[in-house]
Amino acid sequence: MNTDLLEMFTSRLEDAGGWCRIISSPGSINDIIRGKYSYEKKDMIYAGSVEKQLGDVELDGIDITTIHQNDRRKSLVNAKLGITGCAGLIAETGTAGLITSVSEPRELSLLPETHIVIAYSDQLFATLDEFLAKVTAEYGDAQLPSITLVTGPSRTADIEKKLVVGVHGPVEFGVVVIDRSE
Amino acid sequence: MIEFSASQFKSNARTAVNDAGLRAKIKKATGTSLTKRQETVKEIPDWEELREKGHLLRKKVVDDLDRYQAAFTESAQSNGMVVHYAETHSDATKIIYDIIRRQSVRSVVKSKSMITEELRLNEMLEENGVRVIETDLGEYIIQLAGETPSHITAPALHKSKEDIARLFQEKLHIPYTDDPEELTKVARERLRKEFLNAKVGISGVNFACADTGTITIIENEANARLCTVLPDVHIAVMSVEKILPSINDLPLFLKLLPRSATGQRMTSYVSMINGPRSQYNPDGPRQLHIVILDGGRKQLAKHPAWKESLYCIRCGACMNICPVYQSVGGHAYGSVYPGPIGSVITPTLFGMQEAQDLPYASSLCGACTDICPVKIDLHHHLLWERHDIVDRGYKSFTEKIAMTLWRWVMLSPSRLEFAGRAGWLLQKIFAKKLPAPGWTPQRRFPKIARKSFRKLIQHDKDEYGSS
Repeated sequence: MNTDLLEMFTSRLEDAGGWCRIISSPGSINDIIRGKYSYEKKDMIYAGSVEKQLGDVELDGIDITTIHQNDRRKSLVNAKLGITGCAGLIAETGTAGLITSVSEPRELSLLPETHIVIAYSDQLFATLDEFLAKVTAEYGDAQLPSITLVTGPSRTADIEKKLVVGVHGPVEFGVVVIDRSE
Repeated sequence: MIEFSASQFKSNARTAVNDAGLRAKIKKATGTSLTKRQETVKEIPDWEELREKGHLLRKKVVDDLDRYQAAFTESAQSNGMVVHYAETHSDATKIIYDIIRRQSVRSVVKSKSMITEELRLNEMLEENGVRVIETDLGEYIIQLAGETPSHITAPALHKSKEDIARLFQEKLHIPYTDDPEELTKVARERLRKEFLNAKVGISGVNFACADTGTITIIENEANARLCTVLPDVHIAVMSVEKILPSINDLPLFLKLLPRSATGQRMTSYVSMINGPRSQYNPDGPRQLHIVILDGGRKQLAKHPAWKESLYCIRCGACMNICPVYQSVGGHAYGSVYPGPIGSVITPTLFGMQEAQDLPYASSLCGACTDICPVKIDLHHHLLWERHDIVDRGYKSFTEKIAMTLWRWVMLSPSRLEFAGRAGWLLQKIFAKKLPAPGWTPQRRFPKIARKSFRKLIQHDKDEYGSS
């Protein structure tokens, strides 16, 4: 694991108002989330594809793909927490790059009050150039889905340049990085 | 609605300069942005190189607008977007209105976009019975106040928190609070409902990639994400020069733009939208329309010098650093685009005669040119436009006589010598109140020396010898 890059990622994400936790195995994810937020299980919605990658670990909350298509938006509006994966982390700016998919629709990272990204240490890129090059190479001539770069919670400084966190999107944003350098 | 026009710059500026409260608010806001910009630009050792690269890439597109437009259109269409081309401003508003009308809705949500300001889109839609809900906090504030933006990235920069508190109290009927957090919370609650009910969302576009048909929108509040993901129909409005050759050029501009605008390494959100809901994009609008506006840009792109103003990526740094902008604020310019870039593009895009005062709204200090992330030679453009204004004969007869006389005097050492003495004598007679209309009411006329510099040197040489 590139410790320097991970350190840079963490500090730059913190500069942007987000938080980052690095763990050595996925087992403690639920504890981290419970330690930070006291949300009820029904208020937490996660991307099923993320949970699959965690092996035996079961995430607290509801898999978005188990909610009927017509009820999803309503559930997400009322949800407190949305958990997604990502396609890469960018150290230079403290950014998570998300790619839209069936189990990770953009609304999942947009409507709930808190957004948490679960990522792996080998998903870390130094710059946006490297991240985008990897994504475009992966898709080749196939059509790219929509990509969202997230750097911290939603924020504004429209009133006297005073920073206010939590405008129209998530009020809190965090990244859990699972170290799989071994 | 506050109505200004660029022809009233002088009187607007006079009013603004005398408003100490306004000046303090602008100084504070622009100063904050500049300090933060300084910090994050410092982190990039090859910043100057990046500016040069940015300049060249923008030049490449502006030199070949038709080709890039065709390439972007083709890519966007293959992504399932509907691309409309509007030659004029009224064509664009008509296209947008027609799309909305087909949805039979009475209101639309909208995120910040300078092109829609240029189109006066809100006004036009409201005349046709469509309510436009501005969702960027700054835009929401000025929409409530019935005003126009005074800065391209911080539209409500001219308002204090007390101004906003009173505005919210009056228009939203809430108890008075001037706490920015509370005020933001009120806006969040009100606008959330609008987002969830909206059938149509309108946004601008920061960059459009010709190779992949990607439209990129940069923001901090997530209102643009809500406007472009939730509604059934998304209308993205852009001017034709917003195109970049490739998606691989985005990282460069995402380095230049947020740092220059707000001093952020990256804005909270960058949406790279690659199409409407489809097998590739399981969420998002069913229809995605892109309206590409020419609005005089292709004509401007043919001009060997002025085409440079089309390289602009709308960061607003030139406004923040401009001593004139800092003193008068954005409204005084009476144009959609204020500050140095506004003074450059308003005359060439919307009429030299109407905006002939704007190229003079500069001390030509060059700070704007130095800060511009795509190296537009802003202050020289202002100078060249001044030449054009004179060539077109917009200047008064008296000014022409004065300039001819000045030239005649400056071309001969003996005439200059004589003029210096005459000036010194006249200044004595008028007791330092040599009247110079348009100059002396605001400033003191500089004291004319009794002996010219040449004379003094000559005198020293005679006295001490030359060495």
